[in-house]
Amino acid sequence: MRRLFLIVLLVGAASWAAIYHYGQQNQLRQQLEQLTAVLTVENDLASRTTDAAIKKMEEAAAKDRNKPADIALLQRAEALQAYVKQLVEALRTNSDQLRRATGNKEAQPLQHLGAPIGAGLSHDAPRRQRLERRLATYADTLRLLGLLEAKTAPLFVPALEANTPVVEALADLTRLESELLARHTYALQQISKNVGVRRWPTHPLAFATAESIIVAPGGTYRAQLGVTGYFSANELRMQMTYDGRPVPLTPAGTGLVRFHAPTRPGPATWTGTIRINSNDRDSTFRVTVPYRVVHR
Amino acid sequence: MSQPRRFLIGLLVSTLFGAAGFAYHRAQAQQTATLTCITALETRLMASNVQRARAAKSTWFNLATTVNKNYNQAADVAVLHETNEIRGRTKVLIDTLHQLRQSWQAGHRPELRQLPTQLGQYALFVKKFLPDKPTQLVPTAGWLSGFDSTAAPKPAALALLTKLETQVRQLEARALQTQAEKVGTRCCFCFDRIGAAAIPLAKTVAPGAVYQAQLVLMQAASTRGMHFSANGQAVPIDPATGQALVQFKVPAARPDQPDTVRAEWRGRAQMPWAAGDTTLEITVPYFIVKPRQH
Repeated sequence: MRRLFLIVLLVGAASWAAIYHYGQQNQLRQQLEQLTAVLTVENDLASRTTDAAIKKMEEAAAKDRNKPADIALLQRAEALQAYVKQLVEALRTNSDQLRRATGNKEAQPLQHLGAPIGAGLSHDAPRRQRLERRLATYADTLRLLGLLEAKTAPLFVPALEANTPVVEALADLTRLESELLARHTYALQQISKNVGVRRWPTHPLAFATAESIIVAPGGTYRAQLGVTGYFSANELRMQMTYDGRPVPLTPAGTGLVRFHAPTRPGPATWTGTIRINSNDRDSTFRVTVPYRVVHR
Repeated sequence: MSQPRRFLIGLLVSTLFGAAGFAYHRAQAQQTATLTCITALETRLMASNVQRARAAKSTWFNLATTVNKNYNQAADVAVLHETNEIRGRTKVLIDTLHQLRQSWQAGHRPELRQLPTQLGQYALFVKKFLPDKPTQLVPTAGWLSGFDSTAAPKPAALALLTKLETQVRQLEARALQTQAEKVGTRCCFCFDRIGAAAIPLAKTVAPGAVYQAQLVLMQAASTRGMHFSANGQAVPIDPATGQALVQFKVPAARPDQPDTVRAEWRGRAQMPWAAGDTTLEITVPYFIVKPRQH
């Protein structure tokens, strides 16, 4: 009798542990499904962002009169974009097929989280091999073009077995899509840097110009104080001259013009030029500055 | 009890143990696989959160710049204030999530009981700024469903908190986008008026003296909304030039003062709209020179 009681107790404990474990496992899978849903929203956003990046490149190229070099880069970006679109489409098709194969509807949420996915995406399945080849081709292309971020792990099709629960398989495919889009976004960013005229940042500069630098004791000092945006010669290569002579630079990247004024009083002028060379285009800006030579 | 019966019971018990052990082992393996998957997804969501944070900052910056370029109209400024509030509330909530996550990471099991309320309050606040309000449902309902902080494994809790951050940032992004459209950020305001400019130290110079100027490649900038001061005194802006006119009396000469005294004044320009409160300072030299006795 005591033995029987012991056995019943053991069976009871084992079943309780099993039920507890099942419950916890189910919770984890539900959580995994939620993570997958949120990451899918992020992937949709990443896809839209790449579309916007392509459009921006087109506009930048058009603004720079569609130079052949820009068009070539644009075509490269568009080819990569088309390839990634197909890959994302293939990943999503695979997800849908997994859903249907495990008795789930295509919409969220899943009814059978733990259903095994079967052999459709196992190691030797042709579908999986095709997917792997295309991912490898994409990664190789990026590497050849120097568009792969340093220390990037290769894109792996997740290790899906026939008995992998469907929720894990879907999560892995969504993660793969996210990693693919991250690499693609980086590649497009790298390409777009070289399309069109580069837009340089301007820096704010406070400046003051006095009526005269010399004031008599008790006199009034007058000056104009203002702020402007300027392009720093430290970032954008430029040659500056005044009246044909070279101008040294200040640490802030402005030119410092200094010369001895003429000895004859009266109005005078000097001319400054700034030549910049950006994206194979030369531009020269000129300014003529009047001033007065006066006896104090 | 006979020998075979005892043997049979023994066999039954050990089979039961064996089966239970096997089931336990399998369940553990399953849980490990699920947790690996959860952590892998969390890594991607973290990368996404970094992107979203950057994007939100840039949306806000563009909005603030646009408001300033549109002459700081009252309606636009109100939108900017709302936007600042959205950013502030988002930051508070995300800081809370980060703290909770750090606590989990350090091996504690902090209560998440406050979170649904905090998320709900945030959602109620942000909903005012979302374009579509068809559902009266609080969007955060169910974000924590099925999560039990007393039993959950650590990786699951960490991933949950990262996921909540993504969801909060998704709401914020939609709200900020709506705000940005209200002030017309989308319209183009490229100013390509670039030119060489010279900034002389003074407009006049004595014969044979050193003339000095800065030569810069300039882009037209607006001084709207700026605040200028010279030696700590506010200086009004001349609307015609957009520049401030500094004017001050130089002290009369003391009896023992040399003929030439080197002096300087400090100018300051504050730009309220740029990231933070940017202040530019400039020190301008001048000379106080006694007039020559004729």
